[in-house]
Amino acid sequence: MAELNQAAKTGEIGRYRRLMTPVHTWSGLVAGWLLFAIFVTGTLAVFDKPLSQWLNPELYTLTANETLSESQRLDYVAKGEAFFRQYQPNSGFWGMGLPSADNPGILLFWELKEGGLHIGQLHPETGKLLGPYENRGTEGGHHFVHTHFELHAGNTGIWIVGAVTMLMLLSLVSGVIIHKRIFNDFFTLRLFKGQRSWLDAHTLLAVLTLPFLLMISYSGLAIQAKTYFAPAITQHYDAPFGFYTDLMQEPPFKTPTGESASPVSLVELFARAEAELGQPGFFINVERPADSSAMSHVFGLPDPSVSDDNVLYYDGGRVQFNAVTGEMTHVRRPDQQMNGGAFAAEIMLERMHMAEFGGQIYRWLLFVLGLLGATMIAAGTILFWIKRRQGNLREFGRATPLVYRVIETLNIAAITGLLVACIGFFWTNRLLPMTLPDRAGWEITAFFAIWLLTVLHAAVLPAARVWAQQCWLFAVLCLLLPFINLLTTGEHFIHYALQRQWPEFSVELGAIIFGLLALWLSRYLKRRSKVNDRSALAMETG
Amino acid sequence: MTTLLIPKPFQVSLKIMAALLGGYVFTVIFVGCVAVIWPGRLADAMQTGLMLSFAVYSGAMIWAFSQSNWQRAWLVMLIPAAIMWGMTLWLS
Repeated sequence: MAELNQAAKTGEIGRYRRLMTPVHTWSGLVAGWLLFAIFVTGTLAVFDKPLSQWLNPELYTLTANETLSESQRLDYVAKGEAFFRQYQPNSGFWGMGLPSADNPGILLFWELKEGGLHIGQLHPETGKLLGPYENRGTEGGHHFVHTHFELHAGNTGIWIVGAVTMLMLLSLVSGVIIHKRIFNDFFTLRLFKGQRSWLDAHTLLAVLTLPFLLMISYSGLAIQAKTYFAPAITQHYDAPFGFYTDLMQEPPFKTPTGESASPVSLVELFARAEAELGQPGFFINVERPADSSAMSHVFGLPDPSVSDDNVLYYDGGRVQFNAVTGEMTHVRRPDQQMNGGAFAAEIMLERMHMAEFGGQIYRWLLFVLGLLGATMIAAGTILFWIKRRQGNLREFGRATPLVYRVIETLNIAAITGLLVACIGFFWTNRLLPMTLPDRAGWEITAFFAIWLLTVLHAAVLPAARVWAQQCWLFAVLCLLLPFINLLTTGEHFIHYALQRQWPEFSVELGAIIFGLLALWLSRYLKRRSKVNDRSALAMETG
Repeated sequence: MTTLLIPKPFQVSLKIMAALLGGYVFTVIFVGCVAVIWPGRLADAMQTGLMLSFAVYSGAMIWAFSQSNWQRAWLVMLIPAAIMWGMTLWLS
């Protein structure tokens, strides 16, 4: 053993580890700031639907039947179609989802003339667009999904998240290389021992969750590989779309002709698609409804009894139509084999990443692992800082103190600041005026504004105090969430429990649990910050 | 030696760029190459390359960082990339 250690220090392995250590440290730190946000929002996104139920209480006063009869389904399609034809005849895209337990309204998407997708809901009975007091202007739990994969910044955001995730993959691989005793460290946790404890917590959590960390980072990247490696695709195809239709063995995408046209009856297309698939549909769209190139897809409702147990289940099948002539141009049946093993690999990765199979147990597993992963990342960035503070290194020459100060500020804002912004989102959801134009957009603006304020807060005040203050603020906002809900909507978690509204109840219970944890942590941090203040004072005067 | 003329921070930056940028170019060319040498339909072969892409990218980055200097880091990215590029052109 001693010989092996000696060889490791001097030999090839030792040289290799020395080269990999800065790779791990810096890729981990640079990625860590955004990665913590991506992990926390991704963890919340696992439960986006229960969160939406809390965030949009007015919408969920509607109740949808578990299963819809054929006449109900066609009636809902007719209502959505009537709305589109009357108000959005020249839109670039129509999409319509039928009411379900997850979303009790008739969900409509359409493309605005000025670009961007608009989302609305129709009342399933009256067919009228739901107003601000029936459907709160909010992204709901989807806000966390969007922050998670694109930071609300479209394609730019997808690239930033991808770069950060790639650095995570790099720090995982280099972390495994520099890590000497994976098995031993599994049983080592020295609590409340300063730097050693942060290192133990970081390595223990990382080793414990390593399979999850590799799976979640690799799958997150692979399901967007078409975007990130588009230059490889355009070597062989005119456009990425061409690759997609070739892979799916579907007719090629049509380009707009500029000739105006009107689509045939969507109710008829929907009914024909259901007959063709032999099962209920749940979604219909029309691309370029005002153009003679218009095409429509009807999607079959995935069968949960098959989908939940089978990681390779693709979807409930789909039918493609020429929307102007009504001609059926392509059919994929629900039981049809996946096109090729590599495509099946993508489906598997996607469904593992998005918790689309495995039911509630798998969701809770991802939730817990996501929290552990986020804690591992936070411990890593804090560890980086503690080492620098103690080591008195001169990594950046004379600029070193400034660079360290910036890093410390970003550490705080990335961890406690992000947590404050997340709980702040729930508060703005309750506090913004109901009739505010673009209310959903303002909620997101507020989320980023709060996050920015925490950066400023961390930049101007001493770090140890800011850690404690932001942690305390997060705790208070969490613990008071049921009260603000009571004041603004008259609802609270005891009433939710009595009404058996378990999703809403769980959201508030979760806030209280996280609040209590943070309260305990903030008291610990406050004690520590006083100790630090005293020792700093002693250094200055002594 | 050219190494002596370039300040240390720039040498480090050049090595980091070899890993991140050079590794990306390496992987794009790898995916394009797999698309033509993998048996079966072009789309399936392309998809195979895409699914492998991030394993290859992270491997390439580690390989670049393992080199003792930035020149070698760029060489180990660009020489195999050039060979794969040639194969892609020859086969397609």
